[in-house]
Amino acid sequence: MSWLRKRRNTTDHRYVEERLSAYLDDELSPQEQGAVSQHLAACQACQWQFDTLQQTAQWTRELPTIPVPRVFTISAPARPAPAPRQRRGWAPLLQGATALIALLFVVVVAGDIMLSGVLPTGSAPALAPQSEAVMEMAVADVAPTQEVGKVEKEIVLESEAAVKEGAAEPERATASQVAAPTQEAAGEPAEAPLAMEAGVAPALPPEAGRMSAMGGGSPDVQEKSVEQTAAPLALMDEEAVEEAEPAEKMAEPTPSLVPTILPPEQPSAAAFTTAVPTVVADARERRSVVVDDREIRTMGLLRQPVVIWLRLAECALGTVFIILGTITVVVALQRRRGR
Amino acid sequence: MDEQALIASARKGDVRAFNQLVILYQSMVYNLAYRILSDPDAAADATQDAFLSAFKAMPKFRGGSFKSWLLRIVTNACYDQLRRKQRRPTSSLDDLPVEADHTTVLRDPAKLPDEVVERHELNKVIQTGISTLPADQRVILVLSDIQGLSYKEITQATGISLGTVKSRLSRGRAKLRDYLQEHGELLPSRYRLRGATEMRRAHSVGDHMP
Repeated sequence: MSWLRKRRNTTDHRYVEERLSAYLDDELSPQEQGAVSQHLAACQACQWQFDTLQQTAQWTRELPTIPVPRVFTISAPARPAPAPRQRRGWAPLLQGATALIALLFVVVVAGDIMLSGVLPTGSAPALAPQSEAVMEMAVADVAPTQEVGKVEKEIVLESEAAVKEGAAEPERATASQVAAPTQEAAGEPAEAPLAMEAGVAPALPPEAGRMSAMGGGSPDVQEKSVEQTAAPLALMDEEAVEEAEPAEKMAEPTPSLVPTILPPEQPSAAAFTTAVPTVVADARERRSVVVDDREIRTMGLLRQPVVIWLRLAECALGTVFIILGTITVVVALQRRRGR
Repeated sequence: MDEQALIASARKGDVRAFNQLVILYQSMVYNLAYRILSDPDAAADATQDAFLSAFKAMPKFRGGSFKSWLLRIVTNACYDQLRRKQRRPTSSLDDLPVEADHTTVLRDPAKLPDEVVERHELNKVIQTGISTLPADQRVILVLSDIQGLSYKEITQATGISLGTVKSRLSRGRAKLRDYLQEHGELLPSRYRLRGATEMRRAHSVGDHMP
């Protein structure tokens, strides 16, 4: 039965060993405590276990208190400062506004370019001041229908009374009649050269008319064309072709394309000169062609207010963009320095 | 102002009252964290985190032992620090900080310098031994043997059952004892646990000592 005793002893050792820690702390039930103390009194190995465990716990309890490296008081409830929030808030707003203005500016400029069509090339900008006045008169001269007359009235009212008369009687308008009021207009000193050119224009072929309107044409050409107003139509055509030859080399290939290429706000003499030969050549043909040109021209004229507004908007947006952009850059630089 | 009044004020958000509680408990909190973490910087972080968490949680404090409530917060802060430490590369046990032995000198100036040095060596080995324990056993051992909490207080502070506290403490102490035996050569002769080999041999064969 020695093996039974040995097994019981082993079980006792494990039982006691598991409770030595709690026995050390007086945390065992009275029954457990009695069993453990009874075993320890009889078992040297378990007693050694207990002694060493007690010694370890004692040394651990005697570990010194470490002084705190610093005071751990808390300063205040952690609340985010409001000032940085505000800063964060309005700087992106400014950047957004600048970007928006820039976008609007680009859109308006794009719209302006689209409405204006392709920008004129060569001498067109130089013609602008003269050609406007010339065209107004030319429009009055060649007006054959009442529809066009109405549109003309608005334009002509601004210019001259003589032109008004021409517009008021469109049905009687012939090549000679048209020339008369414009010559009256030519009597006024300020617009004399222009009126002369305009009065001459109906009798002129396209290229010659353009030359005179440009004011760059030679005096000979002007004189000749004045004479040609009284001359027969056939002769005028022949001469006009002759006169036109040198001019053709300089000018654009086809006169009929000129109005579409030129911007509406800068109608040059070339624009109306396309209508002029048709007036001279054949009244019926002239009417139809003139109406087409009229539509193109009046469309351009009607677009003019829109373009003016666009230009104004461009200026305003450009100014605002420059101001906002400057402020944004300054603010960004200051924030960077602040950091 | 007594502790209960401070607690009542701190529950209403009074930072000054709470800071007086911090002054009262910061040494206990820091030492608990230091013994669990074996790292002064991590212990300081855990202490600060624990007090901040405690202040935020003050309105939820429903009475009872403030110390136990605070220890639970500190223990959780220590577990957080241990998790962070696991993510970082582990440092060698030799890198453990040397304790400031002046505290021992101040506490017991009568001790001889040799004894102070030897005790310092022992403390160092014990702290290293504690750091080798599994975290669960380490926390219970520190709460019991360093903080001096009763088993009941440990259950309150950790939310662990009494039986689990007993077994974890028993295993922790035994492992620390074994560590000290294994590293006996590091200890001064007077602090060596003698006769371990013979006792263990006797236990393993199941012999009952006369």
